[in-house]
Parts: sequence; C-alpha cells; structure tokens
Amino acid sequence: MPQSDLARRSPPDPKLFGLRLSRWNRTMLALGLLAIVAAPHLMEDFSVFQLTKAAIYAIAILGLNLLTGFNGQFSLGHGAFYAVGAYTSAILMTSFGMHYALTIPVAALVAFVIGFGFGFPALRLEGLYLALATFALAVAAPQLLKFSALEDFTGGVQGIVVPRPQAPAWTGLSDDAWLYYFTVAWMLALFVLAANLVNARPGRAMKAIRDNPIAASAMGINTPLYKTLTFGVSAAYTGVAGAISAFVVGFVAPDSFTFFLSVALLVGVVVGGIGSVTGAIFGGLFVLYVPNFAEEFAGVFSKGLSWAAYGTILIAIVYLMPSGLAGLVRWLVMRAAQPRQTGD
Amino acid sequence: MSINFGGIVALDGVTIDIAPGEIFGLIGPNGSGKTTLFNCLSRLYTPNSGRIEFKGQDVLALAPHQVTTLGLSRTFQNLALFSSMNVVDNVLVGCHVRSRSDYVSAALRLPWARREEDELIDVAWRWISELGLEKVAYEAVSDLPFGTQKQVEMTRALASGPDLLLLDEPAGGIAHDEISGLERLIRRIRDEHGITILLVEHNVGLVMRVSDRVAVLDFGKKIADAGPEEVQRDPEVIRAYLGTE
Ligand SMILES: Nc1ncnc2c1ncn2[C@@H]1O[C@H](COP(=O)(O)OP(=O)(O)O)[C@@H](O)[C@H]1O
Ligand SMILES: [Mg+2]
Repeated sequence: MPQSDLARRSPPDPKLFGLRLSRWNRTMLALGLLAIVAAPHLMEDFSVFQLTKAAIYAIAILGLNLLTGFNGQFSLGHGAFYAVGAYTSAILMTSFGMHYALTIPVAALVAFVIGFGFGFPALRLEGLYLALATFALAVAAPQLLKFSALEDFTGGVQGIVVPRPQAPAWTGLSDDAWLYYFTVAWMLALFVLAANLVNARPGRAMKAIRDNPIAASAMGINTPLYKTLTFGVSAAYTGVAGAISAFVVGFVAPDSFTFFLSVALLVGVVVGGIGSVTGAIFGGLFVLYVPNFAEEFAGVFSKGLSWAAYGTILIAIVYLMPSGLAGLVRWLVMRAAQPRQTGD
Repeated sequence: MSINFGGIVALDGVTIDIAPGEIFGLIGPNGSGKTTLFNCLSRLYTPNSGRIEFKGQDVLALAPHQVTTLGLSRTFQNLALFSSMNVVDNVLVGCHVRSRSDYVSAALRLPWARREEDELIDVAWRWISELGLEKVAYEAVSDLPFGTQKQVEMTRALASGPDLLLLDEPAGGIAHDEISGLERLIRRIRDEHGITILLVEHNVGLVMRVSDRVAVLDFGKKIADAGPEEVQRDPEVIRAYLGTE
C-alpha cells in the first residue's frame, strides 16, 4: 500500500506541549510502571497492604466495567462474584491445601461459570430490571454463605481464616511487599488482556451491543452469546479479585461481602470512567482511599459526618467529571493538544 | 408474505422475487409497509404468514444475526449506528461476520487474530475510500451530519460482504446535487462488486433511473411489479403514489 494510504489510515496523533500524544502515552506508562515497582520501597508495610487492596479493587472494577461500561449491562451484584472468588480460594487453601497462586485460575473458572449462567436470565432483563435482579444476587450472597448446610466448607457466620502467604526467601521482600507485587502482576496482566480485548473484534461487538443492540444483531453479532460470555468474563475478573483478597486479607466472612461492596465497585466504575480500562485503576484507588479521606476530613468537624463528606465528594466528581477521572484526563489532553500536522 | 400489528395489516400477501445481480426498486407512500418488509427480511419481525427464501435457504428458520452471515445486509431508514464509536469502528463492526477471532485469541493477541484484524482494517478502509469517508474516518459518528451518517451505515453494511444489500431511503438527508453521486455509487456496487440491491427510496427519479425492476406497495399490498417504464405508466401506481407527488 502506498505511503499516503498508511498515513491516512493511522489514527490522529496530535501534539501536546510539543510531544506527540502517543509519546506521552508511552512516557506516562513507563512512569506509571516505575511508580508501581518503586512504591513498596517508599512506604510502610501497612500502606503497601492498602495499595494492594486498591489493586484488588481495580481488578474487580475492571471486571464490572467490561460488563457495564463496555457491554451496557448493569450489575448491582458484583460483590457476589467477588465473594465467590474469595470463598473458592479460601476453601481450596484451607480444606484442600492448595497453593494460593493455583486457587486463582480455579476461582476465575468458578466465577465465570456462575456469571455465564446468570447471563441467561439477564438476557430477558433490561436496564433497571437487570439492576434489580443483580441487587437480589448481592443481598442473597451473604445469607447463602451463612447457610448452615454449607457450614463445613464456608465456616458459617464465623467465616474462614486463611493463612497469609509468605514471601519466598529469594525475593528478600516483606510478606506485604511480596503480596503487593504478586497482586500488581495479576492486575497488569488482566489490564493488558482487557485492553487487547476491547480494541479487537469481540470488544467492538460488546460496544456495538451497548450502543444499539438491534443494529448489532443486524450486523451479524450473536447478541445473546456475547452478552452471556461478557457476563462470564466480567464475573471471572471480579472473582480473581475476590480470590486474591482472600489470602491478602487473610480472612473471609459473609459480612465482608455485603451489598455495600457491590455499590462500591459500581462507584469505582463511574468515578474511574465508564468504558475506560485505565479508569479502573483510578476507581480502585478511589474506593479504597476516599472513604478514609472523607472520615479524616469530616473528623475535623464531626466524626458522624464521614459518609456525608464521602457523598459530597462523590457528587462533586460525578458533576465535574461526567466521564470519570479517565474522561477528565482525556478531555484535558484534547483541550491542550494541537491539531495534527501532516509530515514528520 | 403477510404481517399485522394489532389491527393494522402492514403487509398483505406481498410477494417479491429478486434475481441475483438485479437492482430492485421498492416504492410506495409513507406507511405502505416498505420498512416492514425490510424488517421481515432481516428477521427483526416475523411475518404472520409467508415464506422468505434466500440462496435456497429458509430465512425464517434463522436467527437475526445468522441472516447477515448468509450474505444479507441492510441499512436503516432512521439510522442505527453505534453512536459512541468512530466511523472506522462502525465499519469494522460491519466486518464482524467475515471474521472469527474470539475473546481468548483477541485478548492474547494470537498471531492469527492479529493477521485477521489487519485484514479487516484493509477491508474497512477499502469501503471507507469507496464511499469517500476518509476525512471523517476517526470522527465520532454522532458528530456527523445526517447524510454522512447514512453513508456510514451503507459502508458498514457493505463491509459485511453481502450478496444482497437492502437500502432503506439512502438519499434521506443528502443534498439534491449529491443524488447523482449516490446513483453512480449504487450502480458501482452492483456492477463492480456484484452485489444485488433492494432499494427503498422516495426519490422516484433515482429509483426509476437505477432499477431493473420496480415494485410498488400501497397500504401493504403490492399494486405493481415490472420494469421502470411500465410502472411509471401504470394508472393504479399514478393514482396511489406518483400522482400525489
Ligand atoms: N413495530 C410496529 N408496531 C406497530 N405498527 C407498526 C410497526 N412497524 C410498522 N408498523 C406499521 O406498519 C405500517 C407500515 O409501516 P412502514 O413499513 O414503516 O412503512 P414505510 O416504510 O413504507 O413508510 C405503518 O402503518 C406502521 O405504523
Ligand atoms: Mg420506511
């Protein structure tokens, strides 16, 4: 193909402060990776533990975003898939002595199967009705986990204490730092896979269904198949997050997976940016840190107001950044960027 | 083929027979059932009675997405684009049926899936150039004027590699002096790409100039089906449709 054709075919790459956007992206990515690698060396163990939890949330939020942001299916019940992952991992480790790393693919598979299965009734439900059905899932999950017939496995109301993995000696890391790197490695891998997915054929089909289901099926997309598969993949991501949380936190109990967790994940999706892969990282950080921040902030006036402060922050974000933090960044970049110049 | 919605009989025993390689015009007053016929052919509606056969296959036995796989693609009268996506991505969705990479191969960027993606991008750009949409290729479709959006719909439908293309009022929203360009395009699609076309259009002049055959619907009934000259002389057609122009 002639050179001019290739130039025409490549997406616009405007300049921002004299540097091409694609260069900026690569630079930011490199800096971000550097920060991720350096972080545990710059903080105390407890902070590393907190950051690990943010990474876990980011994985779960990305999972929910694949479903809601990219495929347009609402879920107020992803806490249930998180719980499925967490309990799968906890039970495999404590009752079957499985290595913690091996429990993750199993948890992913279990959550995938349950999510895929739930995707079928979800096909008949649109928008608010689907939100209600998944809400039912979220409120039922903690009670099912307390159910006495399953107590031998689930530990009933008490939950399960999970042994926390130790850092392999050769790493010379603290256990917290080791778990941080372990979690972040999973997170990065899952983010790369998701980014590949949403920019290729299946991802375009997912977005097409979200934008216009009738046109999607007129273009030959098997919409029921894609919706159920996306439900499964989404649940698998969130299940992986739950599985990692089981041994990072060292404890699973029914009341860790209340409806509030499902809502927190949805908040993470919206704040990070609906339909944005990188936004899920912002979402994870928000879900973990902002409630604490709100508590400290409100504490200046009155301890009882921390959720009011949280609510205020949330409203401000939704109001000021309707496309989430990722959307804000994109918007600022586009404002600052100069139009593309041909040549060079 | 017949279909009714509640009390309204939208199609009343309509039969059409489109030969391969033909440009088949379908005209009639508003509400006469043209779009409904499209919706039956593309399996969005199921007729109450009748039969649809395409390439020897019983279309009514297929799910909507399978019809496209069989080689039948359409545009929508009132636009049904993927509004948050840009033109290239809309056209790439059109390529869905001619590709097969799945969740796993796409997420892992397996070599065959990457090769396939490159091929799809080639196909998409060939049609984008053919329809002259290069300049807006990376624009969000929702930012484009109605007429351009109609062009994008046509590009998307063509990208699926159809044998039969259903065009529902392609001239809607385009300026008067662009009609001749559209006319040449429709001819080119048939002559150079061998695609059979079923054309619904209110611009009667355009339909009469490009069509090999023309059928006329009125209140869900077919009142004429012949060559363009003959249809234009038909007193029934003049009374029901042409006379009111
Ligand atoms: N989904 C539907 N529900 C009820 N009535 C419909 C539906 N689709 C079409 N109709 C009716 O069928 C008739 C034919 O409509 P249509 O096929 O859109 O006409 P045309 O495309 O020829 O203008 C109209 O009376 C219309 O109101
Ligand atoms: Mg119509």
